[in-house]
Amino acid sequence: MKGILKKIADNRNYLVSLALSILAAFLIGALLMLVTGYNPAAGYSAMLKGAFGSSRVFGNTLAKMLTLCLTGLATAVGAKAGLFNVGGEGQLYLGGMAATVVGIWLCGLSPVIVVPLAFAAAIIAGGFYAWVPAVLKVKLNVSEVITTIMLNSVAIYFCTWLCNGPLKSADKGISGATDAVPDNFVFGQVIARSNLSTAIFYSAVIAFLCWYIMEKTSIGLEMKVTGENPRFAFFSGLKKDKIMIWAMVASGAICGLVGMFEVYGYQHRFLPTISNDFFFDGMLVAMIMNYSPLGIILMSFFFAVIDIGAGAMELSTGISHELSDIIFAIIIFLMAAEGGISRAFSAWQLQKKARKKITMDGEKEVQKG
Amino acid sequence: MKKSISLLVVLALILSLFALVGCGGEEADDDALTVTVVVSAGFGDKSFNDSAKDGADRLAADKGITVNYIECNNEGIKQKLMDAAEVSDFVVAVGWECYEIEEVAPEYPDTKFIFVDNPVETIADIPNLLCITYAQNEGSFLAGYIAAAMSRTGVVGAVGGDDGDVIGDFLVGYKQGAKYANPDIKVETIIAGDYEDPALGKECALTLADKGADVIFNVAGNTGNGIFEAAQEKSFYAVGVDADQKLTNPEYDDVIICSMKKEVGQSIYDAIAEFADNGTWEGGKVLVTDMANGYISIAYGDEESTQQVPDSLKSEVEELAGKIINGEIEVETTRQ
Repeated sequence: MKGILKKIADNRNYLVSLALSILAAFLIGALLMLVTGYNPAAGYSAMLKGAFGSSRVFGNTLAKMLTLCLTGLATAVGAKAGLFNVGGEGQLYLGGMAATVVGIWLCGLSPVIVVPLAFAAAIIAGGFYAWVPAVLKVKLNVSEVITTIMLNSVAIYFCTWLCNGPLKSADKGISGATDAVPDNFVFGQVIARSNLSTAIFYSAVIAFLCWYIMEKTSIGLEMKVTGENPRFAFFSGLKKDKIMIWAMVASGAICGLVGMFEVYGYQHRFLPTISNDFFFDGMLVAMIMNYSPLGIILMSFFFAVIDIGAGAMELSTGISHELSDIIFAIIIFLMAAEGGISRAFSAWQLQKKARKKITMDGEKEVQKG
Repeated sequence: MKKSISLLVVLALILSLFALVGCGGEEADDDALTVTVVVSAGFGDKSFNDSAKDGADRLAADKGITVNYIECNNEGIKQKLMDAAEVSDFVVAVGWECYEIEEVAPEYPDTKFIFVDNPVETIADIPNLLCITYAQNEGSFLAGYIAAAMSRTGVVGAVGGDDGDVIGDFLVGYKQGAKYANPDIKVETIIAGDYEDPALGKECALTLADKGADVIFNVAGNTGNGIFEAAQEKSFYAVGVDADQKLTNPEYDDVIICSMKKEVGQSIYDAIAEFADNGTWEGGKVLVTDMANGYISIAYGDEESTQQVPDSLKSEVEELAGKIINGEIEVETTRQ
């Protein structure tokens, strides 16, 4: 508890500017609603109702949260070790596809065998797809930002081709998707009718591991040192290449699992539209929260509420759901300027302190006099 | 200090503004039917999805029905169908990606569902679901006939949105019609694999043009809008789809020679208007609409549109349409 309080105190400026950014974003959102002729109070209450109003929508909010949280943590794992993984989308696709293929090909076997195999397939596919740019970066100094972002398209088009080609389902009414993963393999529903499956428990374990390893172990410290100053890490005797590669592989493996959770959690088939840039949403969450694991977990919930709530808001009030994107964009925009804002904030505080001191000194002098 | 007080005052003013607006909220008419149209992708394709929207819009105008729209952008479609079902009397699902309607409809027995274009397997067991399919092969036969008759190079093309049964149905009809007009005609097709990418559609059309095609059939929704652009640049002809695209895309009136009209909106309109007027609803079945009942036709725009197709060819097409309706010509199909 003390540790958390201390952490909050350490990051006070950061947290204050975050709170202010969020407030500003909501105010601007409200203003937009007013300008377009809607009632902001009704809009925001519809948004809250849309995210918490029934067990089904709350389940969806949690399901969205776990996607954002895991993709955010995946970004953070890479970033901590100094590698910026922008290829999570591709790793997600390949991981999801690998798990789907395992599920379809091994139908008839016991889920006790197949589901762990699907997990392994997703981890290997996602991890391998991140390993390639990591090795290129470490050995040949090829910028991982460029390679990962390009590899996204390769993976997405590859999976789209598989869905329309060799793995195309012959089921009635399905054009351009794989067969469904057999019912006995997919995760059970935690809340009926909602998208929330037992994937939330697996996600909780992954999130805990990420937090624990990054914050509490020497591996986490080594990652941090490598990320902040690779030369220092090298001269301290750390195996920086190995650390960077494995951090990237872990990042890719998590993304691969997100892909698997999408399929086994609720979609049950692999569609070429399996992810609507989910990784990039998670990446933004991670960036806003400065790659802090705990922060990512909390912030992803917040983002999920807005995202899921916005759809319901559109349906009940007519306010476009794109408002959620505007709110996100404003938060991101302001957080990008966070350094400047928190500097201004601390300058303002110092000024206040100084002014107080002057008046207090003045009063003292008056009393003395 | 002064500054913070003025800030507070501004905040209070803004908040009171919200409260004021809050009082002016209007009450919805409880008796009116509510229809929610859920499209898997988005509107703005000027063909399939927009046709559904047009039908719903007309319901709102003619019958006083409350209409909502949900554009899923291919995310969380099943949940959005449920969102819609919870607040509506009718849910209209547009796009094959809404296939999970099969699981959603039984959960909401008090809501009626209409699923256009694709029948679901267990339709007979779901009395609150009506699937509407369209004999697009019949109209495409005529489109193919016109394309082949208008082609000078002896090659006609088509760009499809995906590799499914519905698009396949368009393409087999188109090929058969083209061969019927000219047995030596070559029919080149490309599957774009995307309904939302006009730039891709343009690339596909240019590729077909390179292969010699001088009439290209759009079967790809919004992607297909790129075909028209390519047609203007390379001066070849295009055939529109779903809506009368000479009217929905007036800027391409000079290259669109005709459209294979598939009245998605009208079929939705008729099914719901029937319930609104007479209270009749026939669910649990697949309603097949075709040329005979008027939901499939060839459209040439209105009197202000340029008419590239000569009247002699139009009357030939009319004759062929009659032959298709009375069964003299049997058009191939990929619908199951």
